Parts: sequence; C-alpha cells; structure tokens
Amino acid sequence: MISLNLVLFISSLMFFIGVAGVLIRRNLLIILMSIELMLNAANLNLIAFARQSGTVDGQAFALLVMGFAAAEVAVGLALAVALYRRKDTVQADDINLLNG
Amino acid sequence: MTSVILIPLIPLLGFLINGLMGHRLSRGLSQVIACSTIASSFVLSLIWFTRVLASPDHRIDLVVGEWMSVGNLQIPFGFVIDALSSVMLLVITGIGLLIHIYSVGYMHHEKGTARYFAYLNLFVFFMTLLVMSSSLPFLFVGWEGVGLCSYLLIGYYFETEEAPQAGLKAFLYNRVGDVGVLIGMMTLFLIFGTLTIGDLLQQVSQLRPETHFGLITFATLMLFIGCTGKSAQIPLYLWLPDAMAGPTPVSALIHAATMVTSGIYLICRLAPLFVLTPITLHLIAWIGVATALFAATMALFQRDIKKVLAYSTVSQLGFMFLGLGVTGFSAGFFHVFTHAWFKALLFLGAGSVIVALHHEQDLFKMGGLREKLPITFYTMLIGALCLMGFPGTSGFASKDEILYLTYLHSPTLWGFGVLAAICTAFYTARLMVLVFAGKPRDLKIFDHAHESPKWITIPLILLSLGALLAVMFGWPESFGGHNTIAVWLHSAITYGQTAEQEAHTLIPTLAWTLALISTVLSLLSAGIAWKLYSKGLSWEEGFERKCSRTYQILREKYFVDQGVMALIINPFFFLGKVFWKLGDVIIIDGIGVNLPGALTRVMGDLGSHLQTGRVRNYTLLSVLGLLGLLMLLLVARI
Amino acid sequence: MMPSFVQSLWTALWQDAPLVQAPFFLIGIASLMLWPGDLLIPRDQKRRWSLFTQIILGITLYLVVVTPHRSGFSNMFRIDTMTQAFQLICTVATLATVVLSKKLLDLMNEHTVEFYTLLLFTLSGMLLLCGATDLVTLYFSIELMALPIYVLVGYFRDQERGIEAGVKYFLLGAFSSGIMIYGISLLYGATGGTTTNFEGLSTALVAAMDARGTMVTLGVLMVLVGMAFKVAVVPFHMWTPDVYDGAPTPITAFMASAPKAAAIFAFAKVFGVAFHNIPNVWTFGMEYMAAASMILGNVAALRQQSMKRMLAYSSIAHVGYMMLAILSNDPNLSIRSFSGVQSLWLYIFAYLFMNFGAFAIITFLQGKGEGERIDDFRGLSQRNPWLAFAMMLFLLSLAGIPPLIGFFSKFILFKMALERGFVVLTVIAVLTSAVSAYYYLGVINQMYFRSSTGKDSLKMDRMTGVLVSVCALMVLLGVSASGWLIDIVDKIKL
Repeated sequence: MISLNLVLFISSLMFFIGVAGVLIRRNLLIILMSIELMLNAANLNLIAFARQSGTVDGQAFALLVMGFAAAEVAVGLALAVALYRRKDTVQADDINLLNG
Repeated sequence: MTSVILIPLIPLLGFLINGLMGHRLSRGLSQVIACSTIASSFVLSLIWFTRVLASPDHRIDLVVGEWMSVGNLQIPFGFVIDALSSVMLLVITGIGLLIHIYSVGYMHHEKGTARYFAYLNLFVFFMTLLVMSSSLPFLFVGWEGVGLCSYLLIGYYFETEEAPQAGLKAFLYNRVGDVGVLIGMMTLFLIFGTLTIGDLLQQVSQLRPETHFGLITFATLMLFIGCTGKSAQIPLYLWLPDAMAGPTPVSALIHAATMVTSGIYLICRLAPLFVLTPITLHLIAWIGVATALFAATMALFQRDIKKVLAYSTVSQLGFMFLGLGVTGFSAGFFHVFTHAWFKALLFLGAGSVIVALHHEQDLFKMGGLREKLPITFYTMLIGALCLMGFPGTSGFASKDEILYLTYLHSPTLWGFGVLAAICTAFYTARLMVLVFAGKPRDLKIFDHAHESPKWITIPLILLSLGALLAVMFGWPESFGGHNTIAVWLHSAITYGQTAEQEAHTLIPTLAWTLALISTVLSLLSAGIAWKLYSKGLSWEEGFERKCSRTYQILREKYFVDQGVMALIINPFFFLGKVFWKLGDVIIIDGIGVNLPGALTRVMGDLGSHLQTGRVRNYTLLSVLGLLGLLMLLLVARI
Repeated sequence: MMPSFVQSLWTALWQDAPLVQAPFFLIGIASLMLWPGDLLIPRDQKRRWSLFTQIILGITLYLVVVTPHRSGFSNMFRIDTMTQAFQLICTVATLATVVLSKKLLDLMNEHTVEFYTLLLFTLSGMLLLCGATDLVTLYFSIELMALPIYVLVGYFRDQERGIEAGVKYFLLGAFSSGIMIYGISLLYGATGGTTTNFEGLSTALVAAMDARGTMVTLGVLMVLVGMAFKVAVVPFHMWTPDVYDGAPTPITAFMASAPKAAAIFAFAKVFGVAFHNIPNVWTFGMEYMAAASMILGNVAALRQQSMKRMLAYSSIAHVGYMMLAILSNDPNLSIRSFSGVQSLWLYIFAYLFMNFGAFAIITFLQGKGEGERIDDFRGLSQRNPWLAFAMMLFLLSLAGIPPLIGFFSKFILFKMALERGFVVLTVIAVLTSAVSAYYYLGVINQMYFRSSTGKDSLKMDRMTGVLVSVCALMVLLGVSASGWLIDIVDKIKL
C-alpha cells in the first residue's frame, strides 16, 4: 500500500512542475500541457483520497475533471489555431497588443 | 397639502423641458419656461411661508411616502417646512427668480441659453430638496445635486481654458467634503439608529453634552468637514475663488446666496446635536474667524472685481460659522439671510458693470462710472453699505449680533472678528471707489460704457429693496429691537425641544459699546480707503513699491495654491518620475489646479505600469499573489 | 441488485429534474439550434436567430421563476429565492446582451447560430453555478460557464485584438481553474475523502483544521485564488482590462454583469457557508484584496484613454466593494438585519443597469465608427442631448452620486460593512469612491464641455433607444422603487 503522503508529494510535485511550466515556457501549446499537468495532479489527489475513504465520489469527480480538461484543450487549441492564422505565432510573449 | 412637492418639482419640469428639448425651442420660449417655473415655485413658497407662520408650532411635517427602507434603516420621502426651511425656500426661489430674470438680460449675447437655464432650474430643484428634506440621506441627495449643478455651471463657458478646470476643482473639493458628510451620517446612524432629522433630535435632547472626544464629536466633526467643503472654509476654500470663471448670475445665486450657505443650514438644522459637542463648536468658531480674517485680507488687493467679491463671500461665510460656533445659531442664520440679499446684489451689480464694459473685470481699468451707470451705482452702494455694516443696514444688524455673541464667548475671537470687519470695510470701499469714483482710467472702455438694460436693472432695484428691508425682520434684541426672525427661528433650531442653547445674556450697554467700537473702526477704515483711492491708483502703486513683500503675499493669496503645488504635488511628481519614467515628462492638465487629480494620476501610473500586456507577467503576478496571501497568513499567525 | 440500483438512481434523478429545468431547457434548445435548427434557416436569414434567442430567454425567465425550492441531487444542488434572484439577473443580462449584439453582428456580417448558442450554453452554466452547493457542481458549472465565454471573446476571428483577448482570457482562466481544482482536491483530502458538500465542509473543515491544518489552509487559499480570478479581484485581476478591451463590446458588457453576478454569488456561498467556520484562514487576506481592488481599480482608471478599459478598471473597483458584502456576510443573522448576500444582490442589480446602459451607448457609438476612446464622447450633448444625459446618469450612478440607484446600493453596502465593524475598509471604500468621481466626470466633461468636431447630430436606432431608456429609468427611479425592491430582497435568504 502506497502511503498517502507519498501520493501527496507526487501530486504536489506534478502541480508545481505544471505551474512552473506555465510561468516559464513561452509556447502556447506547452503552456496548455502544463495546465493539464496541474489538473492531473488534482486528479491524482482525488483518486487517492477516494480510495482511502472507500467511497467513489472522488473517482467520479476525477472523471469529470478529465472530461472538462478535454473540452478545455479543444477550446484552447482552437484559439491557438486562430491566433496562428492571424499572427503566424503561438508564442505567448508575442501577444501584447492590449496593455496599459 | 401635497402642493409642497411642487416647489422642487416645477423647476425639475423646467429642467427636463429645457434640457432635453431645448435645442428645438425658441430662445424666448426656453427663457419664459425657466422663469415661470421659478416664479410658480416662489409663489408656492410664499403660500407655505404664511401657512407655517399660521401653524401653532411653526412646523409642518409631511411624509409623502417611503424613499428607502432597508432592514433597520427607514428613510421617509418627507419634507419639513419650518422657519429655517421656509426662509431658505424664500431666499432660493425669490433671489433665484430675480437672478433668472437678470440672466435673460445678461446672457443676451450667448448662444444656447437653453442649456444654461436648464442647469439653473436643476440647481433650484436640488437646492429646494436640500432645505426641505426631513432626513439626512435625502438632504444629501440635494447636497450632491447642487454640487453637480455648480460643476456644470462653472464650466459653462467651455471654450475657455480655465472654466472646465475650475468646475472640476470645485467638484473635487466638494467630494472631499462629501466623504466627511457620508462618514458623519453613517456614524450618526450607528449611534442613534435613525437618520430622520426629527427622530434624531428627539433622541439628542435626552443626552448630556460630550466633554471629551467621543463618537458624537467625531460625527459632528465629520459633518463639519463636509460643511467646510460646501461653504468654502479653511482648508477647503480654494475652489470658490476659481468658481468665478462661471457666468456672473451663477456666482450670485450659487456661490454667494444659496449653495455655499448650505453648510450653515446643515449645522443649524442639527443645532441640538452640535450643542452636545463643545469641542466641535469651538473648532467651528475658530475656523470661522480664521477664514473670515484670512479671506478678508486676501480680498484687499485683488484686481478682478469678481475675485474681490469671491473672497468677500468666503470671509462672510466665515462670520456665519463664527456665529454658529458661539452657539448663536439664529444670529448666524440671520446673516445667511441678509448676506444672500446684499451679496447677490453686489454680484449682480458687478455683472452689470462687466456687461457695461464689455466683459472687462479689471478694477484698475474702471473708474468714474457713476454718471454712466447711475442705477447700478446706487444699488451697489446699498449693497456695499450693508456689507460694511453701516449702522441701520441689515449687514449691521446681523454681523454685529454675531460679534456681540462672540464677545460673550471669548473676547479674543471678537478681536479677530473686528479685525476682519475692518478689512471688509476697506476692500468694499476700495472696490466702490475704484469702479465708480475718480477719473476713468481707460477711456476706450469708458466711452463705450452704457447703463444696462431693464432686464438687469430691475432685479438690481428689487434686490436692493430686499437688502434694505431685510433688517426689519431681525433687529437684534441686544440692540433693543424685537428680533422677530430669531424668536421664530428658535422654534426651528431647537426643533421643538426645550433647550437652553439660545438663551444668551442681554446686556444692551455692552452690545451698544461693542457695536460702536467695530462700526467706528470699520467706517474709519472705509474712510481711509476712500481717501487713498479717490486720487487714483497712486497709493496702491506706492504701497506695492514700498512693501512689495506684504503686497505680493496678499495679492497672491498667501501663496496657498502655489504652496499646495510645491509641497504636495511636485514631490509626488518627482517620485513618480524617479520610479517610472526617468526623464520622461509627465504632462497633466492643470498642474496645481487639481490637487486630488494630480495625486491620483501619479498613482494611476503605478497601476497601469503593472499591466504590461504579457500573459506570463500576469500569471507570475498571480502566483506571487498566492504566495503573498500565504505570507500574510503566516504574519498574522505570529 | 443492479436493476434496483439503476431504478432508484433513475427515480432520484427524475424527482430532482425540475430543479434544473431552466439550464437543461437551455442546453437542449441550444443543441437543437446547432443541429438541425441551423439547417432550416437560409444563409441570408441568420439574423432571425436573434429574435428566436430572445424568445428562448423569455421562456427561461419563466422557467427560472417557477422552479420549485428545495435541494436535490444528493444535496449538490439547491434552489431557493436567493438563487433565483441571481439566476434572474444572469438571464436578464444575457437577454440584454442579445439585444445589444444584433446591431453589431449585422454590421460585421457575422450573424451565426454559434454566437447565440454559445450565449445560451454559458447561461446554463451560470444558472447551475448559482444553485451549486457542492465543490463538484461548483467546479463543473464554473467550467461550463467559462468555456463558451473564451470563444465569445475571440468571436471575431479576423480581429487581432479579439483573438489576443480570447487567448489571454483562456490561458489565465484555465490556469486559475487548475489552481482551484487542486485546492478542491486538497480540501477533499483534508476531510478524509468524505465530503465536498458546502454544509458538510463547514463542520468537517473545523475538525480537519487540527489534524491537517496546512492542507486546509492551502486548499482554502487556492479556492480563494480561483474564485478571485473569476470575479477579478486584485492581484488576480490582470486579465480584466485586456480582455474587456479586446472583446466585442456587447460581450464586454455581458462579462461585466452576468458571469460576474453568478461567480460572486458562488464566491459568497463558498466562503459564507463552506468556509464560514474557519474565518481565520481567509478573512485577513480577503480584506487586503478588497482594499487593493478598491484602490488599484479606481486609481488605474484615472489614466485610461479608452472607454472600455476605464470601465474595466472601474469594474475591478466595484468588485472590491462587493467583497465587503462577502466579508460581512453572516448567514446566521436575524431577519430584520440585512445580510451580506442581500446587499450583494442589490449591488449587482443596480450595477446591471448602469453597466448595460453605458455599454449600450458605447456599442451604439461604435456602430458609427467611434466610441472606443473617451475623446469620442466630445460634444455628445450637442449631438444627442438625451443620449448624453442618459450617459451622465449612468456614470454618476457608477460614481455613487445620490439619488441614483448606484448611491443607494453603495450606501446600503457600506452601512452594513460599518455595522459589522469593517471601519477601515469602509473608510477606504468611501474615499476611493470619491476618487472615482474624477474619471467618470472626465467623460461628462467631454460630453458637455467640449464642442464636437463637426459631426452632425446622431439618430438613435430603436433597440438602443429602448435599452438605454429602460436602464436610465431604472437608474433614475430605482431608489423610489426601493420599497418594492427591498420587499423582494427581504424574501431572499441564503
């Protein structure tokens, strides 16, 4: 049996890698993947705690989150494509028309 | 009974017609609408005045409905008509009517007067609302509304550079005061659980005066801050002289007769509350006398005819606050009443001079206009005598009553008051002599001068009659008269409660002696001014040469505007530059004119510099925000 | 065993179905509109969808009103008067957006069924969010609400600014919901994997605080960050000015009202119910956030040249004021005293009209090729006095000048906050709202004290006229109707 603390450790590691990716990387697609990593960190937690308590609530929630992650990626990719068509770039730093 | 609602509503109707359809109406029609709405309000005010006179306790409370009601806060849509408000109503609609008529003549050459009359009507609407309302939030509606109208009317000549700026300045200084009123109001609600004036004062009558600095003192102090904003007292007086950028009838109505006195009205309305807080009253008296003296000295050497009158207004408002501060509420309010007449008269007279000289406002270019403008001269003379406190005039009655009460309170205060009165006499005489006596100093202007049309002179004559007759209402008892208005105001000021706040000792000999001293000194200083200026400008020029420093200080109004700029605005800009744009010139409109604006603009830079437009900076900032929240929590735990 | 489980599940769902009739109606209709609805409408008749959507929203209003009051779906969802009141605001705001969009879409020749279906989908998300009483439903309705809006912001695909705004909003929105879901998972773990229900959490978290204090604290703060992102509180406000600026103007008006109303209500519920018993964790930070929002929002608005950016910053400030309501919310209060959520509702209700009125005028001017910049309002009073007067009403009401409705709602909010002892915050609020008069007045200055640069008078179209007039009337007379309003609000209980 894997201890809960280990799960927590791994999930927090995943979460912070995700956050760092969002902060550091410039490519929109990689930022998108980093956000997915953050969501999956949460999923790991949810499933682990659901198993611990012996209920299925957390697992159902994790499924829901996965569904939304997929929808989010669909919208995100669509926006990235629209951006690429318009500006020939998917670099986050290249979009700074609106400021001030 | 409900016809009282019509007093504000009819001008509102006039505003709606002129404001929304004005561009389709003919010039004459929009003027007729504006004047007739005020005239009907005036008639209604007269009717209600007599009704209140006849009613047994001189007060009529009307609750039309509920305005707002939230949980434990109930605010009625109600009016109170008593001596205080009905006199104010008469002043607002009466003088307002004369000024509307005057405006027809004065704005003759302007285009688009429908807008002007619409604003003026709107002002009357809000001002009547202010004085009639029976609850503080409702009063605050009028309070903000008149500020808005004042802003719109000061900025009326929007082609000029300074008018919109001055309007903005007025509004912002007033906003600072409004914060005080709002906080004061909320504090009162916390203490008493009601904001209806009647209920509030009912509870107040059961309390003992607060000798230490308590909650009630805090509340009254906050309200007084609001009054300093609206009534142009130290430290928030800076906007009123600038407000003269508006049309002259507006200066007469709003910035002399009515709106600027609403601070005094508010304190009179809540007199039993203020009586509980001697600390605040003390402060009011000192601020009042300081403003009276300070502004009077600033008026001494102004060259712009309207600026002299503006500082004079600030100074006279100071006298009124002095009266309130020494618990002479009805004396202070009586001065509001008399001052409304003679100051409106003086302003309109000045307007008549300005029109006659084709918009020349420089005193040094006038002179010898007595023959050319006889009606203007004689009416303005009456106003000037009242302002100086010539024995027998209304100004004498009200001002010397205040000074007498001040002496009973503290001879030091009285001394300062007399000093201010002496300055008043001096600059009034200087103004009159420079305009009307002596030889014309600018022949080109002089030759084109002509007496103003009837639209202008008739209101002048009526106002001077009012200024003369006002004295009949309130010859002070200390001078052996029967002070009708004070007796009558007493019921309103105490709000039907029995209280001793107005029982002043009567010592006729003392009163006469004091009046004699101040009058003789004032007349002496007026005589000196007469002597010095009847020979032309030579004395003032000599004075300028010999005492250039004193003269400069007085002319430049003690450099307060410049001081605000140097001490507060410039350092801020220095910092702003160092932080954000080294070497980059930050241009703001009206440096020195807009203190709050300048302050906040520099901070605004700070805000929008964070907004780089880059997503990654935003995400970084939010992660920092999360960490910041954690830090806060840790700090709070320790 | 199995059939009876399915059966019981089915009956439970069937029993609770009326609770979600309005959102499900919306989802169903919107799907049908996409297919086969769109096939039935010829290519050049797409503008008919506007009227159709308005009718659908009218029906939704009715469905929202007649929804029964109770909880359902194993306490994950609840309808009460408060929920309905917020749902009504969201629906009315969406309706106003549809009305507002028609002209613009005509002009851009961009009438498609997708625009309207996206609006309907996002509305269904809001309606669900209002009723959410569980972190699970909270999360998925927030996502359902947000996803269509990302698309709507970037709806004009060939406008660079729109796309940029859409991408920014999406990235920051997805990032924040990532943080929030991690926070939720931590809270779920802290309670030992037993509950995500608001009521359940309120007791479970107190117990968990002793055993797993760090987890609870981190979880609560992460949820706070996620919610703060949605309603745009400093320092999580950064997307607001850019997105408001870049989005199509009707969508900006929409974002400033409907999603904000739903999200802030959910915010109040999460913190007023679920985290109510552990105030030490979040009140402190929230006070700072509220103060920072009031100050930064009002101060940054001073510098703006663009009307939409100015209103964006001002909306940040307004959210700062609304935070006062969340802070002073106490569900255990007696009936006569006003609770935070009630004054929150009033505030948003008032904000709805001022906001839509102002944006309607901007949209109208934009249709004439102006209206983006504050300078474009120059001399509006000469070109169309009624429009300028209405705009002045909206701006003064936003500034909180009496007797307009904005003063009324602000006054009630501040009074309540003062009674709950937030003296410093209230003073900051009063002071900053005094500052706000400066930039609102700047626009009035342009409208009344500057002459227009030779542009002829403007003629209003009917739709704008109706919308502006209704909003102006509400702003002007709303306070007089306060007795009636308060009667409604009095019935609203969390």
